[in-house]
Amino acid sequence: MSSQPKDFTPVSTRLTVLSVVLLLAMALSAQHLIKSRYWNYYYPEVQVTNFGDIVLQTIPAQIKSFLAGIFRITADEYMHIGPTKKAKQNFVAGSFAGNTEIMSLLEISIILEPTNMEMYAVMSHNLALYLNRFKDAIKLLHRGIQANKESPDLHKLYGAAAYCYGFIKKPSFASPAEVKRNREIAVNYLDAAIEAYLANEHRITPYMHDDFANLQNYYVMKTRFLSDIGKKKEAIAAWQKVAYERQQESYLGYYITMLQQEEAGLPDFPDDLLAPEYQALFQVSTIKPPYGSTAAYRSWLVDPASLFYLTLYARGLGAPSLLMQDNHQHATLPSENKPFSELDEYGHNNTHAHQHDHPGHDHADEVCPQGHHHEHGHECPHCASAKSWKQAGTSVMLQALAMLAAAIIIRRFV
Amino acid sequence: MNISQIKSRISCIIAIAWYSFIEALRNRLFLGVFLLALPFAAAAWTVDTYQLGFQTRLVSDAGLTLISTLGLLVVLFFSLDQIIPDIERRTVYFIFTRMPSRHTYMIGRFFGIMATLFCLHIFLAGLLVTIIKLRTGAWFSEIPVAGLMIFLKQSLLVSIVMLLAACTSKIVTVSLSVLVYVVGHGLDIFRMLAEQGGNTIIAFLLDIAGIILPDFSLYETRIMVMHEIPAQTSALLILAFYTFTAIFFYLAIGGAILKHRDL
Amino acid sequence: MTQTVLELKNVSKVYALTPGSSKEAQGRRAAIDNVSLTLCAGQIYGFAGLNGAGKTTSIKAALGLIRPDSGSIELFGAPIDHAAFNNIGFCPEKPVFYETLTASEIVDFSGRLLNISADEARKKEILNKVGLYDDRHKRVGAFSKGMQQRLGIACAMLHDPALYILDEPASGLDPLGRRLVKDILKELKQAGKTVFFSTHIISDISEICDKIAIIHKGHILFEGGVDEFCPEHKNGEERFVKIVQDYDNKTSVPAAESA
Repeated sequence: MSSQPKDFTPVSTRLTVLSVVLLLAMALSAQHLIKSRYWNYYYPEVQVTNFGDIVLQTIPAQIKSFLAGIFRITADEYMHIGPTKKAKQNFVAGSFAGNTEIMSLLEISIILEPTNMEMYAVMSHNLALYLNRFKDAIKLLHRGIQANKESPDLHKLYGAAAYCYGFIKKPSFASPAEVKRNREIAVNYLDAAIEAYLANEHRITPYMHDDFANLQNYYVMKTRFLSDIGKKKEAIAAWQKVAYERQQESYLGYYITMLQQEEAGLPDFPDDLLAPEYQALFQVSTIKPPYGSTAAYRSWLVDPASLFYLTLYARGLGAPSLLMQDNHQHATLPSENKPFSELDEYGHNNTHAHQHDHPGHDHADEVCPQGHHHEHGHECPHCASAKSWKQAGTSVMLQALAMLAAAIIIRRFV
Repeated sequence: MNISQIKSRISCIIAIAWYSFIEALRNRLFLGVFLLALPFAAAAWTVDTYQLGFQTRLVSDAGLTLISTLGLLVVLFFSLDQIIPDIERRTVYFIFTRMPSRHTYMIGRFFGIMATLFCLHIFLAGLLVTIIKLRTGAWFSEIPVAGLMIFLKQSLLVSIVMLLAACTSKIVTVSLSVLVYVVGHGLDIFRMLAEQGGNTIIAFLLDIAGIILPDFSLYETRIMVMHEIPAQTSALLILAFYTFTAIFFYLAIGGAILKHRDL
Repeated sequence: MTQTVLELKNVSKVYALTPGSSKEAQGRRAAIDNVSLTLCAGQIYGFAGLNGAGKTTSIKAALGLIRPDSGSIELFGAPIDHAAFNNIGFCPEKPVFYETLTASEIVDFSGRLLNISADEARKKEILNKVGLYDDRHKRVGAFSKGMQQRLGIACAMLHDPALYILDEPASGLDPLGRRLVKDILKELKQAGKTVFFSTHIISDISEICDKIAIIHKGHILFEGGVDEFCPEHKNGEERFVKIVQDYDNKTSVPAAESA
């Protein structure tokens, strides 16, 4: 018998053929699995209108949902960063809600995952309340309603529509007739929301609870709108359906009680009761947030000084860009070579006479420029970020030097 | 090694790099990458459902993602097209019987890919900055810096692909390169998870991996660009130094493997 | 005394077979076994053997492309060193070049790898010699096998080396191409160059060579002058077949006995 191999197929060719066969098998089985798993999602009466839809249908739902999630997270990040510093944008001053950049991302997210109710709500609120695109907002919500007729969360979309209609024009900025017309429509949507909620109540689990879109809120809003449009009796009837605890914690409850008592001098709109409170709200708060410092972004590329702004932002004190614009001392500090020495823990002006020169100051004593001792593990974010930067830089340099040495040894001896 | 030998090696490296670059430019795949890039770049600012105007952050974010993705395609496909086909089709016989060392060949090929990548990044980052400048009237200097970071990161990946290509087949090279890329982005996360899980052995192994594998998470630029924070020059310099030493390290290993390989 | 240009002493190489090969082939197979060759300056040396006999392996070992398991190799009286490549013109069997480059660029690339500055006149001369000057701006991907072979020879000749190592230079060539290669070899002989080329076409050897070696199944069966191999340059093929068959018969008898 010959010692020569009869068939000597190269391994790479075999692997390639095997890979192709494997991929083909996966494609075929996936096709059948998806069809059998989601057969009830195919509606023969629905006409596919464009090629994009066909492509979308072929992508597994999990992947679409994953991609939609990425777009949602990115939109959320954009919303919190605030406006671009260097370029003017269609951005509503004093509010992050009008960030137009998130709209495209949310639109894509909705295309990929038409069952996510929150996205419809966020988008419609932005369009209607901040971007002057009321009709688009309502169209979007109707699109959502069409796509989610069987969903237990359908009430959220009706609720969002009611919110848009109810608050598109505030009583103080529009004619009473206009407000009345809008709030009549809003009441209709609230009725639809309540009906959808009650019809699906058995399917709504505690995990599906929404702080805004819930039955109690719908009744509260209905009460308010009915009261606004002059249907006081219906308003009182709707208020009876609001839970007792909820009734106690509301200005509306106070208004309704006054209404029931038929008190003289009662304003037409419950909003008017809140005028002094609104004024107080617009004062700059000096109360520190109750929660601790959240982790700063892990980014050693940027200056620790800039990271400090990021930390401030993470603490809920506003976008770094806005902070820098607002606080002129912050902006001029780098040129004076003494960043933050004049600032307190939260970036506000500090009247204490600290004379630290940060870039050269020694961290060994564990005292930060703001004079905080670190024994209790509470470092100021500035020191923490500067330290993490140093640590990152040192480890990177060490790894680089080790690699360099190894490479020289390899080149020399191997 | 005397000066004339060094000169001879440098001229060899330049020759190989130049013709690798020319090869890549004439390759239809490269053309395909560019053709892909243009509609993507266009889509980055035309995706605007409600005509709300030019979205600077969205365009710069999508643009940098595009640059990174296309760069990755070039890295994977062009780096793979360098060493393995040369060995399989015996083109290396032509080269190795004319040049000083196999290390030189590795370095020359590496610089060829670097030149290709550099052109791609310059073209795309330039396009992005120009679009934003035209639409907003402002220069976004973070974008070229981020482009440079992406370039450094992908150059490091090229050296890893070349190291793997010097000793394995195409399938293994692609799989391992992608694995190194993914793991290199989250080494600290894996290490933290291992420590939290109380598994000291895995944590120790990951520590070792942390020394040998590159840390791609150092090249994170998104925060910098999105928040419009200028990068720190010292950090950039350290990163550049880190990149070059790591490239040198991986190419040295690749060259040593190739040197001892029967062709 | 004539200078020894290339010397292989008892060179052996065993290839490990790939894991996908058949059971019989698992294990290791000797590609060349104790191969010894001596090539002197000014000689045209024909290296003959059947397909798979070990010709290319011997050449690869001589050029340092593979590392032999045992034995020693000397080029120009010294162990293999990359500096020696400046004196060697090598053309592999069926050379493959970068398809997107033109013939002119390949020649230029070859020169730059050798660190020599080949001017346009030299490039023109070389390309003319192999009949490719008119196609110099065509991409190599569009070249036929024969054209690529001729381009390989052109690259080997570019730096006018003292030693030419050509692995089956006439392989894949049409009759005109083969004639061209023969003419080039004769020209090199006249110019006093040393040429080592492998082939399985015995008539070529008997026509051009001064010395011949026959390799079969990794063993050198014959090494000597062409006059000794086939007096008056006749019946070379019969002699070659006889040597090979004698070896096969000799080796198959003990195998049959042991079976």
